[in-house]
Amino acid sequence: MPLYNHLKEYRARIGVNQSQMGRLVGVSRQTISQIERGDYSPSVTLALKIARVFQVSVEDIFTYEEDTEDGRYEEK
Amino acid sequence: MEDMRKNEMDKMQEIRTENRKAGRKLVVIMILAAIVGGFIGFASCFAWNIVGDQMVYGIVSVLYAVSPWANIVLTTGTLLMVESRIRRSRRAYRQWDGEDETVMDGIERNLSYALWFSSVDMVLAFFFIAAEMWLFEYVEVVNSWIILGTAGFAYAVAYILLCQKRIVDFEKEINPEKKGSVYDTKFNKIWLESCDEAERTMIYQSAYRAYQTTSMTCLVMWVVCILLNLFWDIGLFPVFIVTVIWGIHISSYCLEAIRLSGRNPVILP
Repeated sequence: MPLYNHLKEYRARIGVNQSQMGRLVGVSRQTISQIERGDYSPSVTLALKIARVFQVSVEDIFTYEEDTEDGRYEEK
Repeated sequence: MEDMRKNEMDKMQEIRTENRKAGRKLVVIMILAAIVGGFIGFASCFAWNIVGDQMVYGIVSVLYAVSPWANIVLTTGTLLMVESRIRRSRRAYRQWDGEDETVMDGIERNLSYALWFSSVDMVLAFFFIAAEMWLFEYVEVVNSWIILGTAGFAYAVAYILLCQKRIVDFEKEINPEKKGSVYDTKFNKIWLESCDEAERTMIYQSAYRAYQTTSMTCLVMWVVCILLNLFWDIGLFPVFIVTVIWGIHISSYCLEAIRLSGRNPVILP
């Protein structure tokens, strides 16, 4: 999956668990867990809400990387 | 303009190549299916002469012995299993440190399995009460047998509903944003509305898998009904029921896809 995230690190910085994080952005603990594992890509709305909680930009938390022709990842 | 025309032609060629490759495979599958189906149909006539009556007798005997008790036994087993899973989940939830997501994932999975078993039990309850009614045609049943079977069905429905209520209530405790009561006829709608985007995606993916499985099952059941008609002369009605379900199943999917594809589309002349 080309979308990577640093949600767990940001969450640890402000000292909230997954349930608390879910309540802050209006989703379930499961959804936060799936995002952190990379099993689910949040919608634009949810990504913006998450970024707002940490007062950073979406790009600081989520990184989109595509395969290059020689198999290396290239950050966009 | 020339580039556009070239892209269109390349796309048409790609479509033709895909259809050709898949079409060859489909023709082989259809020929094999016709050969196997023909063989089974031909063999079934002889099979009926050999085992037909004995098979009916065997099924009637087994169902007569099992039916009145089946719902009671299965439901009691389901109750015990669900209770055990809920207790283990509650214990794990009380001990959860709030961080280890594998614990919560384990709890959710436990509850999902419990819900699945109770749902299957509900379907079996309906099967066994129908089996009892079917047996009236074959055996002389006594009142106590009928009362036991009916009571077993009522017990099954009531306690499976209770199981599902306990599972859903616990799910709502650990996920406070969830809404809906199992007793509400609109429960599915209310529950879905309380799910977030990831949970809805999961539900939609599961629903699509169910759609694919049910489509295949309808085809298989159609074949089974045709064969059973050869064995037991069950008539056209079972095939009719299967095709009605199949038609509704496919139509509801297609119509919903059409509805979701866009508002106020242009009506083509």
